[in-house]
Amino acid sequence: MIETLPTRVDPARHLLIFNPERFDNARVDVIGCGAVGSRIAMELGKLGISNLHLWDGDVVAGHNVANQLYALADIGRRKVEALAEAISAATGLSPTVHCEHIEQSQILGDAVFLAVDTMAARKAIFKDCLHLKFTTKVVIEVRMGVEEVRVYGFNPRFRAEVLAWQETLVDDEMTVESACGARTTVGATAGITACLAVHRFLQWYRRDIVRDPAYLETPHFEQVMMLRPLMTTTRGALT
Amino acid sequence: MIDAPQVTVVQTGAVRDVDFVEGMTVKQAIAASGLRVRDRNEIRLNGTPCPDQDTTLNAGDQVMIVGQIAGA
Repeated sequence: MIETLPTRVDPARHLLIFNPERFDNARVDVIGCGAVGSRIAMELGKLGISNLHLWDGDVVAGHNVANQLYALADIGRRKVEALAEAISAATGLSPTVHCEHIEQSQILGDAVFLAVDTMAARKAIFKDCLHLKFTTKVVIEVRMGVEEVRVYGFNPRFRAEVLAWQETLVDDEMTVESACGARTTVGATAGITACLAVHRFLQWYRRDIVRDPAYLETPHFEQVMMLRPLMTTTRGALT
Repeated sequence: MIDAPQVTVVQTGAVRDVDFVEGMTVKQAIAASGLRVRDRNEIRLNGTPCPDQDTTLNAGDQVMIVGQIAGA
């Protein structure tokens, strides 16, 4: 029996993959705390990332509870505050919250997860906050449908990678919607998307931070996964 | 026995093998598969975006019809 409960998440089980001390308090931003972003943030918290910043200007709506990491009691609360509280309860860490839509003056961290739900927002955030701002070393961007997933990872300093990513950003009118016009999402798909994104982050960490010789290969720029039948395609590094 | 050369056309919920003929295009392979490309779909040839459906295929190629998704 444990007499005194620990106050911080114990990283012992994943130290060989991710060591929070080795990460040296580097900053990670999660932009968009919806179905995928809320799960990404929780996974990052469980990794032991202490300098975690959460961005979202929305409040939790009733329909969010089914597929996002929020509880019924969170309805009406600011998403970032509810999520930070959940991460704190699970890990003992205290993420920094930004209950606002991100704009030009913001300086972002070493790693940025872009988990917003329109192409227009992806384009605007990159243009305003990541383009020619050299604090960020990796951007991991996620997209999900009902049974399809995409994860992109690129270094915003490398022009070839940025251009290749930008080529994938179609207009919102060209993106898939359900028959009724509202986007359909399933929490399980969000979970798969979030975990792929966090694994992409771990690959970056092991290759570029730890310099692990077992991770010498450049991570894929793009992962496309179809869930039924289960198929994946990848595009390799561009630099 | 040597199997006839084929190409594969994939869409969510369907995988169709189509007999390959020399000079076959992406469009012809999709038509032969019976699958339908809808608005807001993207065609990929062996994983790479292939906006030109008149692109000529090789035996063993995979044509993937995927959605342009944006949710998060």
